[in-house]
Amino acid sequence: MPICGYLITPSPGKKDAVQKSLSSFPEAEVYPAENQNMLIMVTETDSKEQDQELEHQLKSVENIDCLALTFGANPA
Amino acid sequence: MSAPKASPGCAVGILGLFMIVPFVVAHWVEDSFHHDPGGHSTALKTLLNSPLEKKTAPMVVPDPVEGAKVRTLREFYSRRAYPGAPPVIPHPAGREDLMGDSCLTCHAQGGYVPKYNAFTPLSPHPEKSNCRQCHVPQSGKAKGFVSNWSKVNPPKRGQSAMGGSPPRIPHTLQLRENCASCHVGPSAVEEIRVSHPERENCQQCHVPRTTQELFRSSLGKKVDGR
Amino acid sequence: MIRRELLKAMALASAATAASTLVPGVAFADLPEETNTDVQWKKTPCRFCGVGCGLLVGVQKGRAVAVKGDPACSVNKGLACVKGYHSIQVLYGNDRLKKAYVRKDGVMVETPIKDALDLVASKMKETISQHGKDAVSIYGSGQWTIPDGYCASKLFKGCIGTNNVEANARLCMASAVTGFLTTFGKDEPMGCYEDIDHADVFVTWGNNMAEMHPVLFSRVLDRRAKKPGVEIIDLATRTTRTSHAANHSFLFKPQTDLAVANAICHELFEKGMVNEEFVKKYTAFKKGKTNIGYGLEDGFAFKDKMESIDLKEFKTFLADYTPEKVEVISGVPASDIRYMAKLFGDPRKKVVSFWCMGANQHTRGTWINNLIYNIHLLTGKISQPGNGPFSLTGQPSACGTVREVGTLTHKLPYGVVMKEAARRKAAEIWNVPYENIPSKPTYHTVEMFRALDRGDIKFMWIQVTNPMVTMPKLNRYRPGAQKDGRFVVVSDIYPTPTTDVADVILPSACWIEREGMYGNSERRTAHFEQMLQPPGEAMSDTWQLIEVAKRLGYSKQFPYTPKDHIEQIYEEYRLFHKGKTHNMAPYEVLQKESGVVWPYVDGKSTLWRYNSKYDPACDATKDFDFYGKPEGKAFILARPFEDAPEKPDKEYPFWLNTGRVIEHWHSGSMTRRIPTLHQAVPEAYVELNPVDAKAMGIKHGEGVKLVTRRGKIEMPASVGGRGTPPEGMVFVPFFDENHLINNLTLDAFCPISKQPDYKKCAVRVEKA
Repeated sequence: MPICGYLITPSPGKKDAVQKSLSSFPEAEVYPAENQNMLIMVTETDSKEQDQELEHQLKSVENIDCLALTFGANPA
Repeated sequence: MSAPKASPGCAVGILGLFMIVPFVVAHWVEDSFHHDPGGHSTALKTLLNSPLEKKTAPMVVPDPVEGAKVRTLREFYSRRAYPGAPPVIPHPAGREDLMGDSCLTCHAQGGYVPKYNAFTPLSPHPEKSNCRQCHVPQSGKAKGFVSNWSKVNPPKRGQSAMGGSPPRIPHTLQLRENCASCHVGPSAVEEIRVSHPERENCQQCHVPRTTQELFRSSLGKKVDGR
Repeated sequence: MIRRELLKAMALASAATAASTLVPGVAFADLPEETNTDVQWKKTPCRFCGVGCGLLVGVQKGRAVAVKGDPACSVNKGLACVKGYHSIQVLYGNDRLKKAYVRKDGVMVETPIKDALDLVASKMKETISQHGKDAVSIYGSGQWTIPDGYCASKLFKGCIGTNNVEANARLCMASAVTGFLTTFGKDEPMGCYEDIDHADVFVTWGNNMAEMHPVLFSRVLDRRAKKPGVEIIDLATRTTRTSHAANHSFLFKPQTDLAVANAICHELFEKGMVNEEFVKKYTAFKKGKTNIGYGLEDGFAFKDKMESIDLKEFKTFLADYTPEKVEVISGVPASDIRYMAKLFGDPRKKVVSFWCMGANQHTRGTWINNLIYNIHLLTGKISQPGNGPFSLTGQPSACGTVREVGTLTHKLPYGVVMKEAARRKAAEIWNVPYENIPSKPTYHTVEMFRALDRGDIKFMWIQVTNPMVTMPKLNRYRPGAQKDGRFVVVSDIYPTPTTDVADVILPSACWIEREGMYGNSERRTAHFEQMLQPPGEAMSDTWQLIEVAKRLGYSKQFPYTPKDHIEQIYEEYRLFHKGKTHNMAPYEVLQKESGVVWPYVDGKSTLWRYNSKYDPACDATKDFDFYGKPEGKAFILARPFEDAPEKPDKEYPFWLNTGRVIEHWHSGSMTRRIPTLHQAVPEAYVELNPVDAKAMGIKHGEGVKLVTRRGKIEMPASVGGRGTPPEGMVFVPFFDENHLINNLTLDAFCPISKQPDYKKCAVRVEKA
C-alpha cells in the first residue's frame, strides 16, 4: 500500500488547471496553496505496480513545471 | 477582567534574584551550609543593610555549589502531565493539613537544601497560598487503572526567527510571569539558564507567539463598510 | 488503518515543509486536521465541581493534550485546580467503554449499539404495557448537560407521561433548593462570585472550601491578602485545610449548627444589631411544623404548613437560644458565638456566608439553609456586592440541568407539575397533549430506589452517575436493583459498581467529545463545542435519549438533526424561561462568551437579584424586592434545633462523617483513572483524632474496622493527615469503590427536601 507525498509547482497561472487535472486521479488528495503558485498532494495505491503506473501518469500531466516526491512509504 | 500583570511578578522575581545572590554569596563566606528559612545570616543582613554607596564589587551569578544536583529539563517535564501542567510534589511533603505558608518557607525565597543537595526551585506565583489546590504528591503505590495518556512533546527551544535573534517564549505566561523562577540562578533548569539575567526586562526582547496566522493586508478591501 | 492515516498525514506534512522551505510563508487551506501539528485551544467549563472554572483545552491531531485556565473567564481568571488541570486525562483510561453490552444469562455480551438501543426501547414499551407508565424511571445527574436533562424530562414527563424523573442532585443540593424556595420563593443564589471581591468577612458553614471549591477559596485568600482586616471564619465539625487557612475555626457538635445559627440571631436582637428598617420593609416572620421526622420508613410523607407569626413570637422563639444555652448544646463557647454575631451585626462589615454539603446533606437541611438566610435578612446583608448568603453548588450542572431544567419528580422546566399553568406551558412547547403530563409527583431519589427494591418500579435508566457507590444504606439498594424482574440500563464512560448491576450498558461520549452546556453555582451557563471524537460506538447521552425516543414513536417531539441538535434543543428550552426573572442568553452569545449569567436581560447579565439597582425584574419603586414571595417580602423562618436520628451511644460510640478530598471527584470512577490524581490519593482511609487513635492503639496506616447497624468495613487509619476529626468522630472519603462506606451510612433525610444526611450516623471503631 504505497503512500507518497508530492510538491507540485505548476506553470505560472496554471494552478487551477493543474488542481483540476490532479483531482481526477481517484488515488490522490490535492491541496492547493492559498497564497503561492504551489500544490501539495498525497497519493495512496494498492500495490507497488499501481504506484509506479500512477507516477508515470502524473509525469505526463500538462502545465506542471516541477513535480517533487517528498515522501514515500510502503506499509505492509 | 484584567490580564495577569507582569510587573508585580517580575518585581518579586527580581527581588528574589537579588535575595538569592547575596544569600548564596553569604553562604560561601560562611563555612556552614545551613538552610535557614525565614532567618538570615549576619553576613546577608550586613549586605542588605549596607547603604548603596558602600557597595563595591558588582553582583556575580555564582556557579552552583560544586557537586550540587542541578535541575534538568527532563526532570522538569517528568513532573508535569503535559508541558504547562502544575508539577507534582517530588519530595515527602510533610503536613498535609497546612496551607501554603509551610511550602513557601522554602519555595518563596529559594536557597540551598543540604538534605537534597540541591537548590530549591522558586515558585513563580508565591502570592498564591493554597498550594495543594494544584500541586499534589505521588505515592508511587497506586495499582490498577491503566491509562492511555500520552504526553505531547514539549516545545522546542531556541525558536529564533533568524540566527542569533532573541528566541520567542514557547510557553504561556499564565502563572509563570516570573521568568527568574526557572531561568535564573542556581535553582534554574540547567538547559534553560540564561546568560544575561541582569538585563531584567525579559519581555523587552522575548515575546510570546500568539498566532501562527500570517498577516493579510486589508489594503484595497472593504473594511467596516468603508 | 490508523497507521495509514498517520503516514498520509506525514506525506502531506513533508510536502508542506518542502514548500515552506522554498517559499517561506506559503499557507495551505483546509488540510485534514491530522496534519496540523499546532495545538488548538478551545474553551469549556471544567468537567468537575460547581465552581465552573473556565478552561482552555489544547487539542492536537484529534487528541486533548494540555489544559490552561481560561483567563477570559471571570470565574477563575486563568487559575484552575489539580482536577481541572488533569481533567483531560479522564478521556484516556484503558478500560473506557467503547461498545454497548447486554446481559445474557448473567454474562455481559458485546452488542452493536443500535441493537442495544432497540432493546432499551422495546423493554420500556413492554414494561409500560404490562405494569403502567410509572413502572419506568430515569435517574440522571447534576453532571448531565442541559440538553441531556431536557430530553430526559421531555421524553419521560411529556411523551411517556410519568414523573419518575430524578437526578443525583437530590443527594447533593435538594436542601439548598427547598431552602431558597421556602425563604425566597425562587431557587438559586441572589449574589455572584464578585461578592468575594467586596466582602470583609467570609464565614464557611460546615464546608471544606479549600478542598471542595478550591479556586473560589483562592479568590477569598487573594481578597484577604489584598485588604487588611478581612477575616475568614471556619464554622465546622472537623479541622481541615480550610480551618488552618481561616482566622478562626469554631468547631460545633454535629447537627448543632441549627442552634448556633439561632444563637447568632438571638445575639443580634440582644445587642441591637438588627437592621429594623430592612426587616420591616422586606421580610415577614413565619413558622412551620416541628418534630417532622427523618424519612426512615418506606413511603414516608411530609407536608409543611406555614403560619404567620409576629416579631414578638419570633423573639420568644429565640429565647431558647442564648449563647450560654447553645454553648452547652453545641460545644461552641458563648464568647465565640458573640464574636460571630458581632461580625454579622457590624454595619461597617460586608459578610458573605458560604456553605455546601455540611448544611445540605442534613436531616434538617432545609432548616439550616433558612437559618443562615435569617441572619442575612435580619442584618439586611443580602443582594449587594460583598454582602450575602451564597449557597455553593457541588456539581458542574446541578443548577444548570437539574434545578433549571427541572429533572426532579415534581418539576418542569418552568414551574411544578402540580400547577396547571406550568403543565400547559410544557405541553405547548413540547408539542404533546396536555393530558400527558401527570400532575402528581411520584418518588424522590431515595423513594425511587426503595420502589425499585419493592418492585413498584421495574425499569430504571441511569445516566452519568454511580448510585451503587453513592446511595446511602447501599446494602439495601444494591440487591434491590438486582432482583428478578428489574431491568437496569446504565449509560457511562467506565465500568463501575453501577454498570455491574446493569442489564444493558450504553457507552457514553465524555464531556468535550460532544457539544453541551453546564450551569454553575453563580447562575452562569457555559457552552462547550465538540472538540474530539468519542471512542468506538460511544454516543452522547442526549443522542441516546433521542434514539430511544424515536424508537418509542416520538420522532415528532424529537425532530432534532445530528449536526445542530444541541442548538435546537437549547433554543427550545430557552422558551420556558422567557422573562426578566430567568431569561437565558441566546445560543450565539453562549458560544462566544466564557459563560453568561442569567437572568440575561437586554443583553446584560443580572449579577445581584432582588436589588432594584441591579435587577430589572424588581419593582423599581422599592430598593429591594423579593419578588418570589407575596409583597416582595422574604420569609424569616423560626426553625428550631432538632437532633439527629441516630446519635452515638454505648454500642456505637462514634459519629461517622463522610465527604471528599480535593483530588477525587465523587465515586472516583473518573479521577481514579487520572494517573496524577490516583497516585496522589490511591486508597480511601478513615481519619481518627490522635487522642482516640492512641487510646485504641491505632497508628497511622494500620487497619481499622468500622461497624454500623447497616454494615461493616475495614480500611487504613489516617492520623495527622489533611483532616482531623474531633474526639468521638471519624471521617471517611467516599471515592474508593473498594471501600464502599455507603454500606454503613443511614438513609435518613430532610423531610422537606428529601436529601439524605451522609454526615451523621453512629459507628463502632476498633483496631482491625
